[in-house]
Amino acid sequence: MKLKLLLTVLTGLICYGVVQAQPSYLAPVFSQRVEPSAGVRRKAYEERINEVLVWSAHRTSADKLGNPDLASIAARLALGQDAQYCSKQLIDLMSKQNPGQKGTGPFWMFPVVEIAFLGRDLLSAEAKQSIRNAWHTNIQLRGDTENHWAMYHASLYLMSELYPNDPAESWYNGKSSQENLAESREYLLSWMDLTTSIGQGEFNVPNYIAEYAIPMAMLASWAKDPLIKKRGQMMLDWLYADLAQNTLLGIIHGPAARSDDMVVIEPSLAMASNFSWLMFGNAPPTKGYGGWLGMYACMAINYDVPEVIYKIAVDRKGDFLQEDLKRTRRRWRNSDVLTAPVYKTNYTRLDYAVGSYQGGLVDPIQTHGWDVTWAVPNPKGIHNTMFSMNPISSTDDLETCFTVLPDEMPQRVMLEGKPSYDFPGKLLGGSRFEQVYQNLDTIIALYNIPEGTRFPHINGFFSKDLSHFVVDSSGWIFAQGGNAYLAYKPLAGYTLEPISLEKSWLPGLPINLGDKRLYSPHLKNGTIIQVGSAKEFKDFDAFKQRIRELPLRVTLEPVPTVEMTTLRGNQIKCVFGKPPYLNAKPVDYSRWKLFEGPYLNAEKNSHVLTITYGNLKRVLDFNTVTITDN
Amino acid sequence: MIKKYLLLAALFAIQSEGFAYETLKHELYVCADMDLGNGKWVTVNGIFRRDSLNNYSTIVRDTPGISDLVFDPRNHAYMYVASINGPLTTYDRCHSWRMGADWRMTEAKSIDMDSGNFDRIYLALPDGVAISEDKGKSWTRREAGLPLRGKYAQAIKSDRTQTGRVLVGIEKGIYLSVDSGTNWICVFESNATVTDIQQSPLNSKEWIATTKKDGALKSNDGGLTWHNLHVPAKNALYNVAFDSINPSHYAIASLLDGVLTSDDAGNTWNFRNSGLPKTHPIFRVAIDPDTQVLYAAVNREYIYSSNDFGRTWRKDGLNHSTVYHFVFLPVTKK
Repeated sequence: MKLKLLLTVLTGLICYGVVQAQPSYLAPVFSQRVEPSAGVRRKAYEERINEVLVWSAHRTSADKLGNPDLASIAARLALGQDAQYCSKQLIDLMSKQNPGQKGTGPFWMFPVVEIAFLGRDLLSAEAKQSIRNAWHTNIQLRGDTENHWAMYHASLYLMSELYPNDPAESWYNGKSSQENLAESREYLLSWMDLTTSIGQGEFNVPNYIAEYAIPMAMLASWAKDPLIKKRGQMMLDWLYADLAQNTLLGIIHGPAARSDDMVVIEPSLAMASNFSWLMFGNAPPTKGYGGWLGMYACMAINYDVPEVIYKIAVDRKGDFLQEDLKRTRRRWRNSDVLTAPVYKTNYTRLDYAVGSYQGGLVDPIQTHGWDVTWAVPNPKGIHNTMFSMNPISSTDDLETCFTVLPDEMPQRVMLEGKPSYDFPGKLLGGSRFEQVYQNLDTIIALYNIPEGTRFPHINGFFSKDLSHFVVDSSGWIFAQGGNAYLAYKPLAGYTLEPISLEKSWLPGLPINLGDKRLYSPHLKNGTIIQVGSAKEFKDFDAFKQRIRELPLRVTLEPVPTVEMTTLRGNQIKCVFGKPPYLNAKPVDYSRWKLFEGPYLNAEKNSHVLTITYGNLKRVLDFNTVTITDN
Repeated sequence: MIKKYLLLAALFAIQSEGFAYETLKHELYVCADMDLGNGKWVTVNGIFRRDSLNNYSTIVRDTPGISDLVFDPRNHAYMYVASINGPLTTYDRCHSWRMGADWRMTEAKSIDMDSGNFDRIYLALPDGVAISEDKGKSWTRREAGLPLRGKYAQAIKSDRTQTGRVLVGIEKGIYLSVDSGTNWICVFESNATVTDIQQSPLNSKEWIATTKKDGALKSNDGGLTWHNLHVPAKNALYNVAFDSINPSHYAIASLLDGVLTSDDAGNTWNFRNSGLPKTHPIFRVAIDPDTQVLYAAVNREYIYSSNDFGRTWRKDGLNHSTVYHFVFLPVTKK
């Protein structure tokens, strides 16, 4: 008995040590070296996969020893370890019937599907049957969001292929394997068609990238139908090419359909950092690898990072401008269109990146509209970003995108993982009353907020990590972030407040950290940001002087209007409610392509993406379901 | 001996409600989700039957996101459900289900059966209306006459006196069909969601609708024309309930305004929130057709019941629930 106890304690300590180990998370500074050898890259990739799997296999905390979750079982199976143990634990997990334990929905489905496939030759017959039984008895929630549907249908597709001839009465939804297969296949093809024609709905998502990468990797790994298998691989290329161009030293930046309260101020905390680390090796992973990376790692061995995507991510030679088309979340009501186009701009330099979309409602809760993000060698704990926003809270906006009764959702979402929604100090969220235009490293964000709007003010974010912060008599606020010089012009009166005063919804952020919130309560409002690289100027004073000299005319009535000449010599005119003008010509968004830039190019509705880096080229053609490399 | 105690206990429970259970002609079913804390929706969600005061039992295998329910009067094992997974059908009283539609029909809000053709089921969807002619096995959209946009349908109700006649409440107003949804005409125009439509059990020409921004509306001509009832609530109204015994009794639910009742067919209204939780976030009201007990579902809290039409309240059960629909099922006398 004592021996058993001792073994348990020792096992616990070993597991705890592994949990704490997470070597790449603890690495002091992350290497940005570009590895030219494909063999060396692959070896390093496989080592990273193994690191996650080993951690994930023993992720159970000390108080849950002997009761691993699905992720742990999947990792053990991927490592080919503890099959007997996994079978026993799986049977126990699949038999759970108590409230809160019984599995349902996409986040239960995909781990179970992974286990089913990883364990085909490892699990006992009884364990496999326990999975199959659960897919009969557990009603599966389909969800209400695009990533839910991707996970749901990919999972159902694969289970239908795994059990191809089972009758309707053996499935939770009363449909036969053939029906489920056909329905899932049809949805997946429909989603891929939509995404490759007018863009992703949940675009540039710092966290939800896992919710798309995992189901696509599942298809790429295990689909029997070769065309679906190939499409899974192509969608992974698509996702990672988009991620690569939207990262700065591996850290995601710019506008996001859905972000979160912490990531908008500390971008390296995003799940995307884990994918940058795993795929490209150029960013530190987050603590615990963001959780879901463990589930992705179980299949990652089946994917080979294309060199062209790797180079886009890690081998930056100079500035680039990428303009892409995305789309909003589905609008059930309060809108003349089911989904509206999103025009996304990404201007990236070695020292910083500026990204935006044109403003307006994308997702009513978690949208991040625009930012400047500066490069830092070790991003952990660094708030290397600057932006402003209108923190609207609106039941009308929520009802636009969610099928809820009036008034009830603003309070409910705060109990469901969106804790800041109804707080005036929040920094997360897009607004119908914001209009943004970006030209290279100049941002003009205008706000025209109606009376009666809940939280009718502007919040601007000023990081604790800025240096040389000064409020200039010209009205500009100057600061330096890394090697980026920043100039921020509030267009109406404001105060600067410690962000901790409004941070009750930001768990874990220390009080008096030094971050500041610019609070501007004026309905006609705006922000201008102009960025430059330190190496472009003799010193910071020279930058400030250049900014002060920029031709600039601002009027707020009847609507916010800005006319200015940028640091790059471009003349911009922005009037709220009207298309912006660049060098006396209106910006024509109707000509916007699906992707346009040095790295990614695709015509709207083409279903063909060309990924380019120097002489490297990969063409993903969803019309012919082919990948062509040059 | 144990059985005897249980029987006595049951009798006590029944008597304490102020009426004898044997006289009831309806069973009460509730479509509800349960939040047991921290926003975690657990899988006891689904359909519950009220057995007695503070005693609700689940009749469905864990099925979250059920908004509405209709029974086939010919066979109560046949049930049709509006759910987050679209329309669900069971022919064995919830032992097994069939998801009747694919991803093109999702997050259904309301469901009803044709009064003259029990194989025909009407479904309200966030993007329109669907109808099944084969007991929920298959579903097709019938939306001719509905606007291209603004079809968010929260409530659908068939006329109990005329087969093929059905009203639907959508974002753009109230629409009527007299040919089983094949064609629709607008009978009330709006720019905010119509949240509920009900037909009086005592006067088939009398209908009431609740809305997000247009208050409560009444029709005395079978839904052809509507006039405002001038309910003194400032916020969205969620649903309306008729009394099956007293034609002058109406009750209305509002998340922000609570419970409102009228004793004079809608001419005057009273807030009936005394005895309810302080903020009285009411999701749904219902009036028992046998006992006239008024039920009010407090969001994420208890269902409350009142024997005096809202003047006093008591907790009735199903703590932590969000109730989407009360459904009274006519049953054979026990």
